[in-house]
Amino acid sequence: MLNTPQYHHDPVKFKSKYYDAMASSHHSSYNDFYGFSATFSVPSPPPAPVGQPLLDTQEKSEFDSWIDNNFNTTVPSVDPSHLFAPDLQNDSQYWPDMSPSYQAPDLSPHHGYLSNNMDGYLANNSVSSAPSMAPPQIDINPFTGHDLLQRQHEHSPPQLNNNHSLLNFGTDTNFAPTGYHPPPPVVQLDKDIEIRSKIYTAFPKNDSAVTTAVNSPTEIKYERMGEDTEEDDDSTPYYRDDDNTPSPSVMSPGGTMKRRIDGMDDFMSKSRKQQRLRKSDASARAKKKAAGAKRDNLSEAQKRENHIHSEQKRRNLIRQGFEELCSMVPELNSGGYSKSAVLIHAANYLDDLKKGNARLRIYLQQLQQRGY
Amino acid sequence: MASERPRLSEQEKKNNHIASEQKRRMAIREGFDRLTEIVPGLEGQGRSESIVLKKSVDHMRDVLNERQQLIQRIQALGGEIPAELR
Repeated sequence: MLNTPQYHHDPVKFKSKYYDAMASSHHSSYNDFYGFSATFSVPSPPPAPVGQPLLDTQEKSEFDSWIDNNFNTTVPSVDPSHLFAPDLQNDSQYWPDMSPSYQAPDLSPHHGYLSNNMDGYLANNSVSSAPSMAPPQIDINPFTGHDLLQRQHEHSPPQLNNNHSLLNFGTDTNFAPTGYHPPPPVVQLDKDIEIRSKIYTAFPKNDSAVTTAVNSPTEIKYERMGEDTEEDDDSTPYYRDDDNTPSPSVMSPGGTMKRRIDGMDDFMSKSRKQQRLRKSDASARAKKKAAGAKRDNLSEAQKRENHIHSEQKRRNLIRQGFEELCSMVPELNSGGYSKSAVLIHAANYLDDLKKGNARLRIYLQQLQQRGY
Repeated sequence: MASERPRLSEQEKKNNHIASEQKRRMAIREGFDRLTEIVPGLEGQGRSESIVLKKSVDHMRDVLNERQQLIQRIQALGGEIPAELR
C-alpha cells in the first residue's frame, strides 16, 4: 500500500483503540477511527469542503483490504502508525505543507514532522481565537472511546469530526490545537472527599475520641462559668469552690479556651498547648464536617459536659497547688486562708528563705576563708 | 439606729458584690504576680495559675534543700546557725 510516514504516537493507546474498532467492525467509521481528539471541544477549523469525501470507494476498499491483510490474526506486531497512511493522500487541506502528490516523506525526527504540519495548519487557518474554552474533556478509556465517537457522529456535522480526527499532538492528550490545557483537577478532589466521607461514615459512631473522659472527678458539679476567673464571689477560703450552684446557662464560651489550658499540668509552653488544642479542635470539626450530619450529635449537652469536666480538672490542679503551698509555708499550716493570703504568705516565705540562704552562703564563705 | 439607715437597693447590692469580687480577684492576681517575680522560670510567661503554683512549690522545695545543705556545710566547719534560719 502506501509508504508509511512515522507518527509519533503512543502505540499502546493506539492499539487499544484499534482493537475496539475492530471488535465492532466499524470500518465505515474509519475517518474517526483513530480519533483520539474527537472529543476535543476546541474551536473548529474551517469546515471541510462539503461533498468531497476523504476517501472514495476505491480507497476505502483498499484500506479495508489492507486492514484485513495486515491485521487478520495478530495486531501487535504491526507498527500501528501504518494506520495513518490512508488518510494522508487526500488530506492536503490539513497538511498544507505537502503537495497532493505527496508520497513518502523522509522523516527522521518525528517531532519536526509534526511541528511542520502544525505550522502549516496554523498559518493556513489562522487560529487566532483565544483558547477561552474549558480544558478539553478527553476520554482515554479505550472501551468508551468508540461510543463517544459514535455519539459525536450523531450530534455534530460530519465535517467537524473529520477535522478533529487529524489533529493529533503527540501522546499528551492535554495538547489541543490552541495550546496546552491542563486537565481539570476538580473531579479528583470531589472523589477524594466522597471516599473520605464514606470511610468516616463506615466507622461506628464513637464519641469517646472527642469527649475525653475526665479521670479524676467522679460526679459532675455545676459551677458559675459566667464569672471571669475565680470561683468564689467573696474572700472565703479557696477550697469552697465547689458549692453546687447549677447555672449552666450562664456559661460563656469566651475565655474558656484559656481556662481549659490552664488545667493541664504538663509544663509545655502555653502557646504550644494552645496550638495543640486548636489543632485537635480543628481536626474534630473537620471530621464532623466530612461525616456530615451523622457526627453532629455531639450535642450541646455533651459539649457543656466536656467543658465542665475540663474546667473542673483545671480547678482541681489549682487547688492542689494551693494546698501544697499551704503545707509548706509554716504560717499557712493552720489552713483556712484565702487564695490571695496564701499567695502573699507563700511569696513572703519564699523571699525570706532566699534571703536567709544568701546570708548562710556568705557565712559559709567566711567560714571557708577562715579555714584556710 | 440601723433602721434609720436607708436600705441598699438590689442594684447597689449587686454593684457592691461585683466590686468586692473584683477586689478579691485583683488581690489574687497580685499574689500570682509576686510569685512569678520570685520564682525563676516564670518571668516573662503568660502564666496559668496551676503552672505558677506548681513551679512555686518546686522552687520552694529547692530553696529548702539548699538551706539544709548550707546548714550542714556550715556546721561541718564549726559554724553556728542563727535560730531564725534553722
